[in-house]
Amino acid sequence: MASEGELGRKWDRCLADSAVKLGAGFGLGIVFSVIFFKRRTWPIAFGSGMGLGMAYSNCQHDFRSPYLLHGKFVKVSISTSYC
Amino acid sequence: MLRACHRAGVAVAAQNSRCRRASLRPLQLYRGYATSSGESGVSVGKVIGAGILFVGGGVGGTVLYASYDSQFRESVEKAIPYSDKLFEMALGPAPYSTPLPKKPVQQGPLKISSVAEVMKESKQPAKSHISKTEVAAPSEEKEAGEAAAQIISATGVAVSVPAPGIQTEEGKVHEGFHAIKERSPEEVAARLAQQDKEEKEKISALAATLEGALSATARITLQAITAQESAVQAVNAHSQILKEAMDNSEDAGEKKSSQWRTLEEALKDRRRAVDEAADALLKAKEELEKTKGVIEDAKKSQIAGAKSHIASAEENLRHMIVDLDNVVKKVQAAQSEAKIVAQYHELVTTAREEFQRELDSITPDVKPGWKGLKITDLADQLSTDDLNSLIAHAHRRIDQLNKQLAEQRVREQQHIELALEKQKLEDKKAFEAAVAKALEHHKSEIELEQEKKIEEVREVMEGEMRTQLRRQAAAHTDHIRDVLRIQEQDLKVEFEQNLAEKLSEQEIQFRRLNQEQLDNFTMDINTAFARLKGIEQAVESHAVAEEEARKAHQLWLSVEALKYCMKTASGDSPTEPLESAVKAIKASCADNAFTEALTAALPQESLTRGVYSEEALRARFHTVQKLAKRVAMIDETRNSLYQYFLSYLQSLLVFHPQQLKPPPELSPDDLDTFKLLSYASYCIEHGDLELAAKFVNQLRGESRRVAHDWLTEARMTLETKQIVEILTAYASAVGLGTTQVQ
Repeated sequence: MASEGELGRKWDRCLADSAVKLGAGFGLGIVFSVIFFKRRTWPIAFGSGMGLGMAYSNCQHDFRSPYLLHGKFVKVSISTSYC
Repeated sequence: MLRACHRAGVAVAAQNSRCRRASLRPLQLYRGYATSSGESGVSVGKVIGAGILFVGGGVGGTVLYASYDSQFRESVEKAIPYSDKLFEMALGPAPYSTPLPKKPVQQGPLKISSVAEVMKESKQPAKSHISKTEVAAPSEEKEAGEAAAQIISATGVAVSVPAPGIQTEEGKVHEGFHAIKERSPEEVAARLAQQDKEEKEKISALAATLEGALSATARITLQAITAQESAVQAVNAHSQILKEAMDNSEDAGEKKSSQWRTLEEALKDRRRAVDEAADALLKAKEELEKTKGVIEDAKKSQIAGAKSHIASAEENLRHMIVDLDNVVKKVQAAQSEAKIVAQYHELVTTAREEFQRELDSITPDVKPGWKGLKITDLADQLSTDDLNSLIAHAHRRIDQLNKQLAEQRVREQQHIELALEKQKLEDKKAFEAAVAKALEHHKSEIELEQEKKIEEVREVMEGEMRTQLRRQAAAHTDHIRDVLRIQEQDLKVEFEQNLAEKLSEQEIQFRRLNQEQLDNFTMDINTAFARLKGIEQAVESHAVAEEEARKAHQLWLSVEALKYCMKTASGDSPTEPLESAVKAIKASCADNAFTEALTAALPQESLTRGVYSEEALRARFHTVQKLAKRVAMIDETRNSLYQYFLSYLQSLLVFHPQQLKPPPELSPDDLDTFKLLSYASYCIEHGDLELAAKFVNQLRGESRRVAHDWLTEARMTLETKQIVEILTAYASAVGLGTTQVQ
């Protein structure tokens, strides 16, 4: 809840997420490598890389989230606006 | 070793000697003390002896002086107890201790030695008899006086008591004083009865003694009288016989001798009778004296009823004395006659002897022993010469005798005159004596009669006086009664008048006082009422002021409570929610706008959740600072992860002092995160949370976001603190304002 703990929490999430993703990527890589790519290493690396990248991206997004501006479309009908 | 032993021994010896000396010295000292004490003992003995001597001398001197001066003895006896015993032992009973004796009636000693004196004595008792008082007892007499006084005051019973007109004796006064006190009539009567009884007893006893004495005296007097008479008779007989003997001197021898013998016998008888008479007389006199004494005692006892007895006894005594005197006179007369006869006899015998001697001288050779014989017997025995000479002698004698006779005849007249004169003198003397005696007898008789008469008269008078007194007493009571009645009425009227006056006075006074009191009371009430009003106002204003004060006090207290609440933050946890305290404040000063505004201005969070203490914030700031430093580069524009890494690196490589004193004015290049943080930390370290918050407020970017919560917290704390301080100040001000400084 404290603002100074926010970053810590973010980092925790980030790491957890990255670990998961990495693991998942790695696992998928392994799976794919095993299943589809005849035990080649490149799907593991690919998978883990993908996982890591996804994790990094998530992390970054999480850290950026306070500064992100969310626009909103406001529909304004011209016909109804009078000067 | 030996030397050591020797030394030890010497030391021991020295010690011993020292001890001995020490012991000797005390002994000597004791001896000295003993001797000194012995000496002082001697002087102590001396002192003790002197003290004993002194005390004994004092006691002895006191006793001696007490024996001399009875007053001193009295005072000493009074002062020192048990000294009277000592004095009694030493000197006998005190002279003053015997009660005052009644002054005895002056009655001279009785002598019954001569008739005249007896007569005088018989006069004197009568006199004293008259002068004596007839008082039964002194108390009775005093009773009479008291009774007389009681007539006035008591129930009006006139007690008939012998009049107090009787003379009093001095001695009675003393006893009377002891007995002075009012007694009731019953008591008086009882006492009178008792005294009458006593009197009667005494009288009977006295009468008995008197009679006894009288009888004894009478007996002995009779005896004396008979003795005297017998003596008289004997004397007369003797003188008769002598005369006969004298006359019959010429009778025969045997008759003569028998006559002489009878004479001698008669002489003896006479002598004996006379002696007997004398003895009897003495005895009688003694008895008379005794009786006199008894009568005197009877008179001394002074009993009223015994007077008659005493009178009769005296009379008897007097008679006896008179008889005795008469008899004695007779005896003396007889004796004088006998003397005459004896003289005559002697004369005759001397003449005869002379004659015989003459005869002897003439006729010496006559046988002796014929003196008593007659001449005619001798006639034949004598010779003629003898006869002649005898005759011549006889003639001569006759001549002589004739001459003598002639001489006698010549001097007859003279002799007769002389004898007459002598006789006259003797007669006179005897006459005087007889007259005197008769006078005395008569006097005593008359006195006795007088006394009797006096007694009678006195009795009569007394009876009369009693009746008169009774009458007088009755009249007196009536008179007094009337007077008292009148006086009572007068006094009653007077007193009633007085009473009415006084009552009216009192009433007036009472009314006046009442009115005064009412006025006073009204005045007091008014003043009291005014005062009460004043007091009420004062009390009200006081109450108001007190209310204000109370409110202020309460506000203050609640603010204090709030302040205390603020302090309840411990460690990292916030304080208690300030809601209750604020509620209390609100409640304590519901109508105060200021307080309301202030309490409204409190941040809600502080109410619900409480605020953090400065220490907590300070501690938190450390972490915040570290974090802020780590993300110092991150802001809206740079917020990728790589930037994060870079800012982290930056934070590691930038060495700023932890604390920097902030400048009074901030310049734009002071707005660096690191600088700001160091300023803030400095401020925090120096307790200035506000300034630190201000610096932290200048942070931008992620650092700001990181410190955001801290900042809010700090802001809240600061706000709350500020409000609390304002409230405190306000409460203090209000409290001070309402406090009444004495």
